[in-house]
Amino acid sequence: MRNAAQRPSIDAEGLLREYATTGNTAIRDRVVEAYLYIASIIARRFSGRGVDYDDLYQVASLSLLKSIERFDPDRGVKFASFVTPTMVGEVKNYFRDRSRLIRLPRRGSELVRTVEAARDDLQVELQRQPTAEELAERVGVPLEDVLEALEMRGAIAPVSLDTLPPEDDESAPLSVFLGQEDGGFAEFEKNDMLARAMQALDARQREVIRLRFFEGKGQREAAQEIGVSQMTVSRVERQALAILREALTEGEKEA
Amino acid sequence: MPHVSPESAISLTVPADKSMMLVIRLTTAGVLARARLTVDAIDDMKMAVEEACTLMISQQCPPAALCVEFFRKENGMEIHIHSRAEQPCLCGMDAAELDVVRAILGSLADAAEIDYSDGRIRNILLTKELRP
Repeated sequence: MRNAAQRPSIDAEGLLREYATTGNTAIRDRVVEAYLYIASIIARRFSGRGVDYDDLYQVASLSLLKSIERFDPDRGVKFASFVTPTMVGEVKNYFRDRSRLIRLPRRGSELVRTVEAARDDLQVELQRQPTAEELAERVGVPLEDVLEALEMRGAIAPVSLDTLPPEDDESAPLSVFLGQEDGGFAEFEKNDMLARAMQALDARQREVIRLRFFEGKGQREAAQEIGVSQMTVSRVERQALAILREALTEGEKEA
Repeated sequence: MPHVSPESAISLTVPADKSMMLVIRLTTAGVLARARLTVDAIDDMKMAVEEACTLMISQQCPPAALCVEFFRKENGMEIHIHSRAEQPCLCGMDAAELDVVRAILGSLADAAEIDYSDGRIRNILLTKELRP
């Protein structure tokens, strides 16, 4: 890992101008190597909040690559000034998307869901993000409860895989319930079955799958791009995955 | 306990410990919700304040207490984070890392200033504009 003290002495803007013209990946790689130290600092600063350093480093590094592709050297902005907010944005989205995977106690979970739904609805109605007060009024709970729900949504406190689920009669740790990687997918891809399975989806489902899994976008980002609510993306994604799963399972049997 | 000063500031002083982050985040959320910020802006500012406090705590010689002060201005909200100490301890952080932290704070708030001199952080100022 690059020491943060070793600041890049390269002319990033000049190199990226050259990269944009020539497409020479060796030039791009020089910029990547010079600026990975920012990814490592961001990852280090945001780790310890329930997400591992390595995951954050990966998210920030990918963001660096995306930034290089999107950067326009002729706009007069320094690459360093452009890349840091972009990386922070990606890390923020990662935290937000990830927090949706965390299981909350039922009461909190219901309130979080209600607040999230009201937030999506109000965003459509108002054509802007709602204030916390507007959310409280819509949900019909005190402002404090809304703030608590928003905090819970962001609270990332993963449960150990060794934890025993309270409702589990067999006292087996959570790790027992983890799924296993389906080795069949690699074979499907070779046979182009995934592409065929995608034909079973309608246009919107295909678009959601493309944005979420081929372009790696978060649900919120995908929703903004399509112009629908995040809940819609979530629902369409669930339906699409079920269809794909079924199509691929059938394909596997035929194969 | 936060208290309202004659200048209508809200001031929160807590032990400089990571376990206090929840208190700081919830206070920040409460104050900014009263200022009618959107929920996304509140999320970002919670993260910015937490990051600023983490910077104070992770210094070479961390302070005993952290003070977070909220000032309502005509067009925005100012949040000051400092240690109350007259002579803050040495930061000990690499200049390049401090630059990145400044950029992180600046990308979460509308503006961020780290008052840094003689290797010491005296104050961190975060500004959030309030749009009508």
